[in-house]
Amino acid sequence: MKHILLLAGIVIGLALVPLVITKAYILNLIILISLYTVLSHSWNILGGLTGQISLGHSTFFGIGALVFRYLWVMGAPSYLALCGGSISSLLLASAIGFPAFKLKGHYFAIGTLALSMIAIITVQNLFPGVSFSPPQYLSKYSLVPIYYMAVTVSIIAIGLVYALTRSKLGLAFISIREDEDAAEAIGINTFKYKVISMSLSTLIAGLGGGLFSFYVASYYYYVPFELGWSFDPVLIAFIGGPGTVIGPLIGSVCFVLLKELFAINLGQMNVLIFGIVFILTILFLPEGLIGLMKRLQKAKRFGLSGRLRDGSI
Amino acid sequence: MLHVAQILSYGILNGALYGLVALGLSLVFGVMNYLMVAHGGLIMLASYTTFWAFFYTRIDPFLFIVVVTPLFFVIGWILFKILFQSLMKFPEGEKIKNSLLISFGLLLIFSNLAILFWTADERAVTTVYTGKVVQVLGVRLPYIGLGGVALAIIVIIALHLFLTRTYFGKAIRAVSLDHEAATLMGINVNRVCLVAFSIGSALAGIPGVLTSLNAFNPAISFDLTNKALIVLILAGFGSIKGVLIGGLLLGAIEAGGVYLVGTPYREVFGLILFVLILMFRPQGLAGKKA
Amino acid sequence: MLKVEHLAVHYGDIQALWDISFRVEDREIVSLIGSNGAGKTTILKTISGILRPSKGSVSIDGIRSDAIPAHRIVEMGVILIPEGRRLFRDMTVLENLEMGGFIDRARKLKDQNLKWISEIFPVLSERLRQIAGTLSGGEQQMVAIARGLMSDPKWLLVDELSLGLAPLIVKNIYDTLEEINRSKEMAILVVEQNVRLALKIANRGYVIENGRITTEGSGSDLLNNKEIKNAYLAMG
Repeated sequence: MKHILLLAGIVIGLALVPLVITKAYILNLIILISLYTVLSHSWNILGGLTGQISLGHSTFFGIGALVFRYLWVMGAPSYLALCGGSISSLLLASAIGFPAFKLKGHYFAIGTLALSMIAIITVQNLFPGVSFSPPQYLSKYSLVPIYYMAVTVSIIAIGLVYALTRSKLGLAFISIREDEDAAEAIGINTFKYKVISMSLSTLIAGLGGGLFSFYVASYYYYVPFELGWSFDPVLIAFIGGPGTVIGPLIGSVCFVLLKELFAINLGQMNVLIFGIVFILTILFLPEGLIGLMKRLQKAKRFGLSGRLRDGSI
Repeated sequence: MLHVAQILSYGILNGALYGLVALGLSLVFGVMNYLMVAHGGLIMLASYTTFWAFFYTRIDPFLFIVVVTPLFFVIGWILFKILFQSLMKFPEGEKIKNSLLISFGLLLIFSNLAILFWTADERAVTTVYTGKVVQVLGVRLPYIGLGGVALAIIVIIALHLFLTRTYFGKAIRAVSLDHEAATLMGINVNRVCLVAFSIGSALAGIPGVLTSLNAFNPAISFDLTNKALIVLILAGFGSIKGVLIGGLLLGAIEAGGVYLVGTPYREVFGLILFVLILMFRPQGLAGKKA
Repeated sequence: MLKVEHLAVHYGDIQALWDISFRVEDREIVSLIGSNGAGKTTILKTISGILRPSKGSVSIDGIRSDAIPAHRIVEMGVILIPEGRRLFRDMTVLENLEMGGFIDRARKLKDQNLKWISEIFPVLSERLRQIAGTLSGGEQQMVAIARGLMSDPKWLLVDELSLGLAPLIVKNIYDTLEEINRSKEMAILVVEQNVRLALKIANRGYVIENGRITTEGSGSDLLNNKEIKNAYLAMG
């Protein structure tokens, strides 16, 4: 009960923010955090929960952006265009992604990496120019509708992952992550569930791409297909805690804030620093900040040895 | 007809380069199941090293191989000790996943370091023989390309001799087949992995020298990693013998792609083939199940 | 002497061995018998350093070895012929043997040992250049043992050599092991599901059940032991 009230409070608070705060800077931050939350949760569904590491999520992000832009410029209202973008990602995933599930482990990872390369080269050749928002929006560009879309989409993403962690579907995903062969052996159709996982993942990634396109007025067509959009969600998910609900949110907050900090002081160096942070996270904090918090909680309750004070486990 | 022969010969010359590019990656994967996707980044760094060495001392890149190779052996040694050795404590599945992720992070770090230090501008080492060709039956063969083929042949023969005629080389093969059995022979598997990784890194130096002679920039890290992965799959993951053939095959396929769809999509051809093979025959054309 | 004292071994949280103590004297043949999953292979893996005990110790000629990395234990003269052979299947027989003789001490003895091996396993001398994976089961087992012998060991640990092999071949190999024990004065620790074979060649034996030693005695005493006959030899 307490939790529901808290959540309702947060949602209402978020809804009221643009009415109270007019500084573009704050709104931009929240939009960015939402964007990264959506993207990293999309990766999280496939990689964190189901254990299929994708290194090419930029492909689905990019398609979402591409299709959204196209539909929007053609006159579709933004939320319809968003759905369009999202579904296109799913379609792309079904065309190539699903057969890719014959691949296990790192074969899948490099397959997705290759996919993202194919995508960006193709887009660079087919659409070499700059993509612009529809003219009527350019002239009255406002952060407010973008803000609401961003927050809505991120709530959808977080809600979806939350629902997954409480459902049998999510349990199937996790069992595949833990031991695919064992899951198969006890009768779980791993292929079917991997397909479902990837579908949800790419749907959300497409939403993220659409959001990006709604937010950024003009950019080279290939920008949402860049490798960074594959790397960032992985980084964020691992920093926050892969496979968790609030991990990607926390990770996004850290990421966006740190990036702000670095951009002010260090400019180009930030990719370098994030790369190092990523590696350190893999080596020393494989469960991310959430994992660290859990370990600290456990230590407090059970003493540092991980056993109850009377010696039992 | 001549046009076809010309495209094909470029394909073969490129193929030799691709074989060299993939060699280090193949060795490391075969021995310890690490997919070192940062390998392309190492090659790129080697190109920059060669470029700046030439800039300041005018030393010929082919001669500079003697410096680059041991230099990158040491770099590989350090990388392994700092990063990958700590992975040994993880269980097998985690180890492979984490090595992939760390390599991915390294790839981005390398390319960003390069942009930071040297900007994204294109560079190239220009020597007396740059652009010079030899005409054979009407087909123009660049000196640099031929140098690459010669290099590829020498390196592969040397590697083959090392792996089949020396105790340590055989130990590397044994470790790539069965870690536990190798330990039971008294082989220090950790040490073998360390040396194999360093050799893999040293093997990045050689194609690095070659790519420095053509236009390059930090972005080639990704292109080269791609090429290496494609060759790996054509040759069969973990099979070192097939790497040169895999490289040549890729070169020929790209040549075919250029002939059919034109140069801008040259990469895409190879990549699509890669993804297809990955889906239908992931152990590679010649390899066994990894 | 190879001595194991109060050994306890865990696989993660699961305990596999409880308070195992036994010894192998120089030049002895000792057999560990017991059913599947009793813990016999675990014991051999612990002695050879692949596994670490959670309690207790292993010592080789008085020197504690349970904290020493597995590849160094080979240098101390202990070699394990693992269950399932674990040959380097893509390498030739000769290369497998060379890998057996990898440690420094064994490299000097390579030619000598190769000669001896072609005497005790004549079939192998014709197969030196053949790829190990193409040999028959019995030949592969011979290669596995020969490979171990190349390391110039004082203690030979043999894990389940009879698995998957025809009885006649198994008998031949055990005869060869006895021969090796006699001529080279090498101690042999045998883990074997075929109880009769294991106890026939043994000077002494131990029965392992559910991770504990339940009976010990001389080879012949154990062979005639009523309970063992009932449980393992399907008679009486």
